[in-house]
Amino acid sequence: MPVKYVFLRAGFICFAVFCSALLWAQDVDTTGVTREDSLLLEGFGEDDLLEGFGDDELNYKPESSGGEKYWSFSGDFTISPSYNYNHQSHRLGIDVLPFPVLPQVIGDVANYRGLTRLRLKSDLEFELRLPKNWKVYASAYAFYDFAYRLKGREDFTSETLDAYESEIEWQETYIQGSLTTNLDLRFGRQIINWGRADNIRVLDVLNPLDLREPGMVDIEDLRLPVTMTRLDYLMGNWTLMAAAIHEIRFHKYPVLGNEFYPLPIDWPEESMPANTFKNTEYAAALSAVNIFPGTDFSLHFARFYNDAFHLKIALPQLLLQHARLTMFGASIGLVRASWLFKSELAVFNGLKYSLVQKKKSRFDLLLGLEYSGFKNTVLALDFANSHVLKYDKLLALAPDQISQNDMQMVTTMRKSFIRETAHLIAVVILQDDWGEKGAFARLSISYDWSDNLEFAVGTVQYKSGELLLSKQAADNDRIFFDIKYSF
Amino acid sequence: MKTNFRILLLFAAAIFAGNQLQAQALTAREIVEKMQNRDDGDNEISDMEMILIDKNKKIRVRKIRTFSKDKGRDNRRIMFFLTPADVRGTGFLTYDYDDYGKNDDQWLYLPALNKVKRISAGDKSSSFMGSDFNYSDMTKKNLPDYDFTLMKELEINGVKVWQIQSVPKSRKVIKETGYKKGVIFIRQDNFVAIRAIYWVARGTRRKYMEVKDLQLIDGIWTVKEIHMTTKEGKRAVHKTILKISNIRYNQNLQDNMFTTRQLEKGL
Repeated sequence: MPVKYVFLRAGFICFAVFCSALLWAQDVDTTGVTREDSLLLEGFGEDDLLEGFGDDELNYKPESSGGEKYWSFSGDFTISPSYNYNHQSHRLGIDVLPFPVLPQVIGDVANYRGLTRLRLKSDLEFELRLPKNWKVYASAYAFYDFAYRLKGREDFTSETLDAYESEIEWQETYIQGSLTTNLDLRFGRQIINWGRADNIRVLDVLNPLDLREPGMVDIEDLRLPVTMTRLDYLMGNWTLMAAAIHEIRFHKYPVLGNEFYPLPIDWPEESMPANTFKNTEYAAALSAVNIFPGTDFSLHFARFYNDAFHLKIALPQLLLQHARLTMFGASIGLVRASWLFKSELAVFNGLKYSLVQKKKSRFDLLLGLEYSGFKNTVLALDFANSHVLKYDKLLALAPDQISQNDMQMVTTMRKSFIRETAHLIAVVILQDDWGEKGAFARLSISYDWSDNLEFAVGTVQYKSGELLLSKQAADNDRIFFDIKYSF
Repeated sequence: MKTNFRILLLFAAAIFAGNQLQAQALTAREIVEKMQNRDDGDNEISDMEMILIDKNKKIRVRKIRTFSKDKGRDNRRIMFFLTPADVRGTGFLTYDYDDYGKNDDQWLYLPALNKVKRISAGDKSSSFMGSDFNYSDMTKKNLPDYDFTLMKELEINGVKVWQIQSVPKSRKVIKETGYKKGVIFIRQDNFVAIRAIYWVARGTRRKYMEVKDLQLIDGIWTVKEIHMTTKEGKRAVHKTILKISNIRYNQNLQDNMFTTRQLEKGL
């Protein structure tokens, strides 16, 4: 058994034991006071009791605030260095291929050991409130990464520099309002996040993801907004949503020469459907809250392009293509005391793979449990399985690497300290059983120095697995820091 | 009618005691019952400023807009964070049930996730947004869970008050609320609790609640400023000041306002 495999499994178990011990220790103290004990505390004299209300040194002088504005402008600046302390191979992709490749095909590439990111990023948001509760919202971000200049830009591929050195992106930008008392409209670039789990996607299919640096993308930037027209009709506890998606975007993947890119050659050309009426994607959902006490429920339908690609092999040409899929799904969320039970299921039709001509269908099921009975703490465990119907064994080979049942398990712990100024987040994601197809763990702690200034530090650990992407990521373990100023 | 958010600490009441002699004959439990069953207004919109001050005098300020509506004997409340910038857009929806056996329903909207999440309301002893208030301070108490004792009558700032002790009957209640004992000072002229002391379940800290600004608005006694100070011995270790402004009752708030869809839409 590989050493790192043992390490990750041991780490996972230790993490679980640590959480349990921490929370158990916290819990027992609370129950140490009996009613009799508390009655013994009656011995306070009247003066002692009232003294506590005297003026103390913790005072506040209010600042004068202006009247209510009809617009707002806010944002942040973040500087985020990261340091890769485990990088071994400077021949990206060569080690993971099942066939030999001459070094001159790609040659030596950048050394990603050491400083891998020194990114200065700014997020900006603007909101304009219009009459009758309509509003316009716009957001964008821009970043420049100084790490490439410091390490020598000539060592990196042009694809890497294009994708990682600098970027400006429009994020959510839309107009929103009510057409009638019960009918809402939102038009523009936006995100619709279906489903109940935070870290596994079953129903969350409408927005592609930024997968260029797995585990390192800020959660607010993970989903890529797309232009759509969204209508919501409210009927008591029920909401009917329909959306037409006009802009076709797909996942952003690592590019040639990057530390997460698994091949010594560039991706084949990608076939992009045009943003035409014919290619419009559609989505609809019917959701209800409290259909039974503490129970939320939803039904989903989507006709969309798969954000993940398959390889179209038409020798001598290779093309990356995206299949048009149909999805039917449902979800349920159920609260009982401190427990939240989550479930999602979906059937996908029209899936295409690289090595099999025939379209396939897939059944996805997610079961999740969240516990928040411990003080300022949330523990979550999500488990999902993707089952390919009428499975063909060819799918097990690269580049598809799909099993008939692909499992994923995510464990999360979130805990806040010091009156919610410090936050600990630990996430372990295992692909297939105990991570046979790859895994990563992320641990971060952040501290709000003030309302405007936040510091964060963390680490991401990757475990190699059968998937090409996870093999390439295996030696990219890193620590990272963030300093964020909000205004 | 339900306790609403501007009170936060349960024992701010608003029923006039028309007859002082009659009021004096009340038992401790009856006094507390009158406080809980007060008329606190309906269809309310207000702005809240929450000022958090730590022992190093470092100050954090949160501004929140709150909408509240009664639904029979239950209450629905939706809150939107206006500042600071890093939590702007976060929304919180609560269905607060009069039936003590029924857990509140709560949903949270996080702009970073673009998602409404149902959250369980099981842990009421946790701090509300990092303040000195617990989630248990925001909802009605189940009075049968407590023993109440009328300790004495005294005057505070020239106003006659009852001093009442409340002690949870079980360890379960202590664990749920985070308090092992409370002493409340209730005005005899209007049944408003103007001060309270809570003994924190774990450790030796106490919390001191004090109403600093109480006004009669549209015939409803309304707390406009309230302080909660956590003390270790005589030393203040943290303090929360709540200032409520722009209070408007009897607004035409539709049921659509108190939906998960509204959480997503924001203000």
